[in-house]
Amino acid sequence: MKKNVILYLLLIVTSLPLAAQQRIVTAGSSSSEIVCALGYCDNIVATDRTSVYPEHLRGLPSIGYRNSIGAEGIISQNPDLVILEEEYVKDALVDQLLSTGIPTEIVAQDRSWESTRIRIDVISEALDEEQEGRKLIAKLEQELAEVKKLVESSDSRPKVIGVYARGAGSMQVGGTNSAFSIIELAGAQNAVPEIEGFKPLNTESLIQANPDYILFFDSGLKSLGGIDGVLKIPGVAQTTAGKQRQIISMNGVKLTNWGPRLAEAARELFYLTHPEDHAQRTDRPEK
Amino acid sequence: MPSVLTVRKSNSQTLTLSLLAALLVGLLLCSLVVGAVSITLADVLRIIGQKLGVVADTKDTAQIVLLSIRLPRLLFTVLIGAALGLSGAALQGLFRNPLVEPGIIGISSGAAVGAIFVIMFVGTRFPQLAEWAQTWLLPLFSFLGGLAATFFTLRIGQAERRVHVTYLILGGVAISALAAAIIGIATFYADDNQLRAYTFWTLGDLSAATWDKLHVLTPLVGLAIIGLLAVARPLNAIALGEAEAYHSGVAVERVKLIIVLLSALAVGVSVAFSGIIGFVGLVVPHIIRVSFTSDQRLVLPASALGGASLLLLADMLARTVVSPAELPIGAITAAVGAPFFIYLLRSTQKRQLI
Amino acid sequence: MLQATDISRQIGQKAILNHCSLTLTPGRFTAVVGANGAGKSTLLRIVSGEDVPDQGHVHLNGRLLANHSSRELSQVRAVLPQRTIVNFPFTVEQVVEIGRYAHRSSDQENELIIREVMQLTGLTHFRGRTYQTLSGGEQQRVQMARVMAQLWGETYRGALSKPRYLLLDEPTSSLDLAQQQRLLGLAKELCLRPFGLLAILHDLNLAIQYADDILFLKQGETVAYGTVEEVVTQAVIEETFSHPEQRLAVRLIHDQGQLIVIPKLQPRHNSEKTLNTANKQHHESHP
Repeated sequence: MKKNVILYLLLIVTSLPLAAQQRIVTAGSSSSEIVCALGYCDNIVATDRTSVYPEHLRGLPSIGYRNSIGAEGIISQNPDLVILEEEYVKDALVDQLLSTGIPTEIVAQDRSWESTRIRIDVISEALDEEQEGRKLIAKLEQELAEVKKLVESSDSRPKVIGVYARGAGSMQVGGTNSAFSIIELAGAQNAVPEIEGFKPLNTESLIQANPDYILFFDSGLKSLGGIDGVLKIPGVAQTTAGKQRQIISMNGVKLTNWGPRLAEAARELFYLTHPEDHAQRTDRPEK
Repeated sequence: MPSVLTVRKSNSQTLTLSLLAALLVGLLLCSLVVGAVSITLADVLRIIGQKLGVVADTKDTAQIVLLSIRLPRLLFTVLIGAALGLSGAALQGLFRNPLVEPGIIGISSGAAVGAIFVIMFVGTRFPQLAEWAQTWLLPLFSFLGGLAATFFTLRIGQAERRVHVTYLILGGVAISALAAAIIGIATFYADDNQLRAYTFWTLGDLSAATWDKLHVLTPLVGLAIIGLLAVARPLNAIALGEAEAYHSGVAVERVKLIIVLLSALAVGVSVAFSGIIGFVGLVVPHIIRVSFTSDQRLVLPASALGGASLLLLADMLARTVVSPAELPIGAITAAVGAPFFIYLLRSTQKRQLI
Repeated sequence: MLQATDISRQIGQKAILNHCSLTLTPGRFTAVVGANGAGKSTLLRIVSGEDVPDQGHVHLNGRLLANHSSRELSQVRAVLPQRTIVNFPFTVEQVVEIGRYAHRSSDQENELIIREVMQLTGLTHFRGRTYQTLSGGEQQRVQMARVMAQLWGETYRGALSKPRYLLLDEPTSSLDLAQQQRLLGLAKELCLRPFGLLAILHDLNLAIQYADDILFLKQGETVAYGTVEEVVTQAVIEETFSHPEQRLAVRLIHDQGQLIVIPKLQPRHNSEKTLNTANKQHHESHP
């Protein structure tokens, strides 16, 4: 018995530092957040530029952005595990990492609850924390169920158009299968369902779609000069959203990465698009 | 006395080329040990020993990074740098003006259009095409795109047997604008995959280097380099004017064709594999001419060596300045090349070359 | 002999040359004179092989020009252009060396030839100078040295195996009086080597001074062709250089064995007289 206790103690003592020592590199904000949600935030030693939540990730060495992320940069961090989001990094990178033998997990970047679930599964398995993973999924499912209740409690299904903007010269609207797919989850409908993916903003289409709300990333709204700046864009003033100054914004990463903050994002978007339910809110969104 | 003079001249050319080659080798060695992953000279020697079977093989990270990631990338850089430097010098000789460069006169843009055409249409419409065909179609169409752009600039830039470099550059502006439009439309219809490739094309990227791609790049660029080096002497004569070169015995139309074809090949293949990297062909030949001589028999090979060296240097910067992230290589060459172009523009204006 | 027979050339609808003939004999200096646009440069280009006539032939030593290889041709025929723009900083020596392009001579031979031609053109001290730093006249001399280097070879060794032909396109246009004499004097000396010389000259007096034969061209037609003694007459000159808007009158005087042409504009019929009268009246009323 004593021997067993000592053995178990030794095991725990030796595995603890091992767990603490596991060096993880992530590329993709959703994956970074999942790793953190599973309790391994301190193990992330380097990450990409889009991984800004939790805040302290910003201070980590950055491996770059999108397809400027290079293999050597990742390898130089001596990772024990690399998590990459497919279609976010360049194909050559995947091959190069795989050739080094470093454990690499590639997760899909699709925006659907199913995909989020699979991502949590894959990552929790790679971390040897399947149970934690299942708990996280259960928690998210419950949160999403609550959001669903909220949505069903309201009759309004306002039309929302999501715009990805980087200054007035670069504006793209998101249709189906775009980063703005969360719109449906929040009890609204995409004003331009006929558009596939992202397409440049077109004044006539905007007026025709006549959204009730125009949704931006916080950064995008800022780049256009706030709500007043947006109202100056041709076509906006002719829409319901423009007439009623229903220009809304949310943190871009939270809004679109379909990560662990999915339900939170959906709820926040719900309240932004259903102000009549705002008064009955029992919680406050965190910005 | 005369023999000393002539021997001295060819000696000095050989000496210069040897120095430049030594510089290139030195930079290459530096590049081997520079990068996000720490690899020392001792590591390099050990890995060489491992490959030769002299030392026990450990297949460690350093070895894999050096042999699968860094070495192909460095060879890529050397070949593409040489291709860009040499074709810049050759085109300057052909158009008789130091302001000419494949990027500026639109050849790189034309090549990019050709490459994008293949990626967008051939890959998706003809998936049953053999792997090898897909690999070779890309540089082929890049070459054709670059060739079309070169012919266009030839037509625009030459009137009454004189070269009007202003029109050449304007023609380049036109082609680049057209290419940007086509690339824009292509990414409009493309799925996300190709959208992110936009920066690959416009800012260049040497990191996609693999040994497989080197098997295609090497013979094509090698062919272009050898062919272009052979027209050094006629290019000297062409510097006096096409009519004058003809009278001196140069087969002018044939030389022009060779330069057009091989420059388009060199640039096209480089763009297909690494996107548009500009200014190398502008900066290097000028520095060579100012530092040494305008004799194309030196300028051409020296531009190849110098181009490779410059790109290696730029690549080292790209890989270290924001490590572990990387800067796009085209941004670095532009940061150096664009101010250089402005300076060159001013000085040629003073000398009334435009 | 370099013989152009019955040359006609049209560009578009316009006839540039009409049945012109010309023969260059080694040892003789032939001048081509005429008004601007008479077709002189075109004729030179056809004689040199750069351009192909629409009708007529050019024979070199009995063979059609086209049947000579480019190398063969350039070893016996050189053209001094009117103006050469060099955009790269070549040295004088390098420019002259380009003349040796078509020859397979050794570096040593080339060196000796370059020295000799530079000496003959007075460029010895300019050897290492950058071409662009030279004045127009000096640059012209460099080009002269180059074309001489092109035709040098067996001449240096004493015996000329093949006759040489040097074609000069308005060689004196950017030269001052002394330079003109020097260049044409050198050309005349080259005739003795023997070279066959053709020069387009816009200065009639220079032509008369140096040429043995002279061709008068007017709008593509031969006005007269023959030795200087035979064809230089007042009538020929007046016809060649007059045109409908402006008649030319010339006086020919002999001075110390040299024929000198003094041109004078023929007064126009009415308009000019009126001008003179008006002037006279002006002066009379305003003394």
